[in-house]
Amino acid sequence: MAKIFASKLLQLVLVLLAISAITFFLLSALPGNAALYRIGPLPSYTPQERAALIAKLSAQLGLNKPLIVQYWIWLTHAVRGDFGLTTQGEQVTTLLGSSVWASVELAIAGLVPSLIASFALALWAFRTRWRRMQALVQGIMSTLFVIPSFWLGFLLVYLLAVKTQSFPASGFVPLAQSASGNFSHLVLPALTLACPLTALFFRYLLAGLEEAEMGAFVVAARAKGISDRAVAYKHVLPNGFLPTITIVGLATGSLLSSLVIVESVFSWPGLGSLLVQSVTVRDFNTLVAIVLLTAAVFVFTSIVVDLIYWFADPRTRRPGQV
Amino acid sequence: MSLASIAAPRRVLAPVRAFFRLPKALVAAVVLLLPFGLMAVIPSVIAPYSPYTTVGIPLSGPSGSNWLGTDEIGRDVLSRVIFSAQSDVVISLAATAIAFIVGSLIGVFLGYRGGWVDTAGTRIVDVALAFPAIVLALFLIAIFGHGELVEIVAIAAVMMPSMARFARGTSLLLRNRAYIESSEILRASRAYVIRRHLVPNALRSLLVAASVLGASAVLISAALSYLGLGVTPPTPSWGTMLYNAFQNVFQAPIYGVAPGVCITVLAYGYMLLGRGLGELQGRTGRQERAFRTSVTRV
Repeated sequence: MAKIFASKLLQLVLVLLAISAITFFLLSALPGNAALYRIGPLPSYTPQERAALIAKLSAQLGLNKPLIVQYWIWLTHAVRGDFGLTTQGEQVTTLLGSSVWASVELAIAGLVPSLIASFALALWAFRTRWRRMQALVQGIMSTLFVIPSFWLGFLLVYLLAVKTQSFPASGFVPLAQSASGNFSHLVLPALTLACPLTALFFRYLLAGLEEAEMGAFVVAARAKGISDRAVAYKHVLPNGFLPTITIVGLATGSLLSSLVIVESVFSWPGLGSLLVQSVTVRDFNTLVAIVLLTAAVFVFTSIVVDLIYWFADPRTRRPGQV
Repeated sequence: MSLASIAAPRRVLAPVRAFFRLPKALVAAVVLLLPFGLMAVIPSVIAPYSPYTTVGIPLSGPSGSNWLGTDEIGRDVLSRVIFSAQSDVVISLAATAIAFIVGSLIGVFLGYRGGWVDTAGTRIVDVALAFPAIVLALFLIAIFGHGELVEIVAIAAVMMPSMARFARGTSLLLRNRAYIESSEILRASRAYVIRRHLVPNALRSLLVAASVLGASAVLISAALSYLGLGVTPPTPSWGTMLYNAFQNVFQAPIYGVAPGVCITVLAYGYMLLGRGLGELQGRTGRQERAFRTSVTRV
């Protein structure tokens, strides 16, 4: 166990190193460098003066050193949590710190309800004999699966903010300032985030349950005369929900993709909004920090998924199985 | 009245009947996609106005002359929705084509080549696959600047890994078939086997997968233009229209409905096309069914 964990952690470090190297060298290959960006066009300077200024600033910023050395310098700073300055001159880390919690709050508010709803719905759909209702629920879930979240958000805003005025259409109130204000602003974005996730989890869970039902152990349990309910909850469910763990992990790891859209729709000041903003103004330091953070979250969730499997599925504990 | 004139409609109707005997999903897909094809090819014939001229009071509701109302600077929403098909359909088709061709070739090669090349390649594909799609697309757009070509390439790059993965699976299923082994025994080169045997035999299920890519492409391109990083205004696109509709949701709630419906229906049409094509060739494999859920959601 400890050995597996250690190898996974090593993997995390390697993936982050690889991604940081790729992004660093890709960005250095772009025309223009930090010195050029900083001094701008400078219309009153002669070309010679301008070139001298660029050379001086490049030396100051260490841009005349070999690329690999530049990467090393950047890396040693990044490890200490220093990703440099934004184009506005702020510390990237400060900026990230202020937006990361809004994203985490939204992510939790989207994930937890969708997990509960999808489990309840999938179990209901699995056990019910009410075929028409089951088909209807499945139809709704397929629709929610492909519906773009910016349109879902639009519909929710139209129904719940414009028509009934139950919730504010967009914005954010910090939790420290007002708990109820924070909550009422949270509802619509969380709902927008949760609907497609629910559809995704529902789909995998139902498929997993249906597949587990085919197992010989279900026939054996039925033959022993165990009630339908007990078969469903004690035999089918523990086997049927295993594939869903992977999907929940994948969805959590790539949640930033959905957050980008949902946060821009509802002007939620999280990482997603920050990412779009940094792309729009081409603020590369912030961009790289967010990309690395995304990768870290992704690899980290995959480690957590492996751990959960270790607890949930005894078969993976056998030597040579992982 | 001669016999010929009675028989004629039957002859005309025959292909129509044959069409409706096709798998239901395929019929539905064609019915859903056909209007978009028309909107993309002959928008000026269908649309009542030019998408660029101001024809009424900004943000007015639906009326006899502007069926879906007007946008924030008084342009006809219906006409803009129709003209949007041009950029949205072209971008999604181009990106799908690139991702399909490059992804399939990489995947088929990896699956057939096997060994350490396959292991290393699959690892890279897995990492790329795992990376959040929109984040990757935004990163590419930040680096290469924005424009339609970059957008197409970015969308293709995002979808390529899933195509490669699928093609690798298909190629693994085929590589032990007798005709491939016999070709290898005759000392055919790898390139020959891939060109002559693997690609033709894998093509059908690869095409089923490609239609799922089409749906992803529509959704990603709409998301990018929603974020203001896709098609550049004033060229109309559904994503941009939805964004503007959202800004004015209190004044003109009807404005955003049509662009949203178009995005969803077009994506759904592509998905149905994949299902229909799968049914057309008989039993759909487990792999193809699984791939359907891998559409990039935005």
